Amino acid sequence: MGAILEVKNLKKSFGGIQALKDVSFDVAEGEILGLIGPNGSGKSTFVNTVCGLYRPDGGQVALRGKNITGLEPAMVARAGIARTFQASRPFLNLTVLDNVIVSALLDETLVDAAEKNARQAIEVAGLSQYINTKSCNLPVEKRKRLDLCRALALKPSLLMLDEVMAGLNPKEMEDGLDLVRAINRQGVTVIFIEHVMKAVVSLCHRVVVFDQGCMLADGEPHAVMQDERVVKAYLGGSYKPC
Amino acid sequence: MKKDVKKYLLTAVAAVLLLAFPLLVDNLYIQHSFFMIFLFATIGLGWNLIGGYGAQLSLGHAAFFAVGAYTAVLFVIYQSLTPLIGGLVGVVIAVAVAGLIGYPCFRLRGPYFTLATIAAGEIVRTLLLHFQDFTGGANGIPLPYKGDNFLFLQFSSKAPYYYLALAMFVVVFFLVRYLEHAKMGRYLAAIREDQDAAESLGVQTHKVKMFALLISAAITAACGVLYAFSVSFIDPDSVAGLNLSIEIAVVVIVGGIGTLWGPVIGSVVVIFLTEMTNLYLGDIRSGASLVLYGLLLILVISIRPQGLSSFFRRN
Ligand SMILES: Nc1ncnc2c1ncn2[C@@H]1O[C@H](COP(=O)(O)OP(=O)(O)O)[C@@H](O)[C@H]1O
Ligand SMILES: [Mg+2]
Repeated sequence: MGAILEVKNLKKSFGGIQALKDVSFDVAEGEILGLIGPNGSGKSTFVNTVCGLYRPDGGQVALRGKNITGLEPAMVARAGIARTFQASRPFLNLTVLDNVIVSALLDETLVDAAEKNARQAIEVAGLSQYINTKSCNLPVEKRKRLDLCRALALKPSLLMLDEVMAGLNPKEMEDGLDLVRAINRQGVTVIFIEHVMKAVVSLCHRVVVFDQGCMLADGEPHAVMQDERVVKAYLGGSYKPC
Repeated sequence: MKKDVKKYLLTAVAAVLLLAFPLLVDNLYIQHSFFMIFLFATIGLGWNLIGGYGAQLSLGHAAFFAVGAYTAVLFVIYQSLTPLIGGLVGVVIAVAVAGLIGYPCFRLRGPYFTLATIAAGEIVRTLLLHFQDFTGGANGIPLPYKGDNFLFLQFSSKAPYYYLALAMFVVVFFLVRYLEHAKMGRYLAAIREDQDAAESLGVQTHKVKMFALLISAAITAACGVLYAFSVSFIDPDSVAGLNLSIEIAVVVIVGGIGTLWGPVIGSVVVIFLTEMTNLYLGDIRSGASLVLYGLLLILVISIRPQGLSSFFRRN
């Protein structure tokens, strides 16, 4: 299948720090793409720049051939890209249901209809038992799940997950991976940022490795993990062989 | 079930009392005070849309109030046009002014909107003072008496104004109650909580804030029209002054910002205290009322920062 997202020569600096030096790659329609790299290698900056939260210093981003470079975040979301924040950002004083209703309102004018869709997304995300909990009372990993649930309720064609599995125990991690697989089976393309390599290898069809704002490798997960440069730059330090 | 019955009974009793009020109390001063309570509750409900639900503090709502008031009055004076139409023109102009303020400000973050509203209020007041041949300037402008005439919103008694304010209040109350839970209210809540997160969910925050501000301005301008005709005299300081802008904000903050009943409770408290100071400290009134707002704010914020309406909330 063709590319859903085409990124060409994307650049983003903060003062003297080149967080994205010159990044180009395509994301294929329907795949789960793993995006890995050491801390500070530019993964979150990539998400934020594609989503319009940061204005790129150069380069292009196209979604299904349509140029979305520099669009404001709301327009990127409306074009079909949903994202989670690495440090989750629920609407703290709203309940889980009210949080998700906000995103379900993208496709609906009436709150009742949005609520129906929101309840479905909450069920899928496994948050039903917290549906009426104010999100400030959720533990961190549930907040991340809520972020994911809100993104899901947008019915995106591309979903970017920035370390949504952090802080989960192995069992919860398995459930989380199953959830991402299920979402993907619904036809949603996924960019999956994660530090636990086992999760990346078991979930992703393909992996892109960032290092210091550059792309270091791009390929099939097992092959990438054995790439010498990757091992040296990244896995040498924090590879968890479990 | 039983609770519902009780609620309907209470509502019915309140409705009857409010409707019968001018028949029960014939003191004009008290009638006017109740008119002011409903007027400020209505303005507060409108202010709350952008200032409370949208968390965009406005200190310039007097601009919209004055535009409504002056437009309607000037149309009567120069064109003999009924305020039912002149007032509508005033509302439209106020909405346009709001658009001019909101358009640049809502794309920015930070205190720009608040500063722009203060500036807008002062600009309107200065323009009214400057074009004195047309507006009467600092001396203000009295309304020519056209006899007891609904078309010109002039009545020989206070009661009709009271009923008009009550009607406007009821309409705006139910409008805001609807909007609070509708898409707009949900989006405003999201913006108040976390603007970046809201945008990532497709909320076009500047449009939502703009929409809230336009409705807010329209309500405030309509209140300005009604006020002008009830007192038959307006001047820049009383309808376009920073005092009024602050009073509007104080009404809502004291009552409970971002809540439906906040402006209502705030209006009762603030108008009651204002009328008391007018009565007993009339000579130094304008200074006294500002001191009063300040003290009231300090008191409420130190004891109950969410506002007085939070005393009534369950759980
Ligand atoms: N908003 C920002 N302001 C300044 N520097 C930033 C900002 N966001 C990221 N950076 C810097 O850009 C680099 C890449 O960060 P980031 O994209 O968060 O990496 P990763 O997600 O791969 O850990 C880091 O050096 C980081 O300090
Ligand atoms: Mg990151």
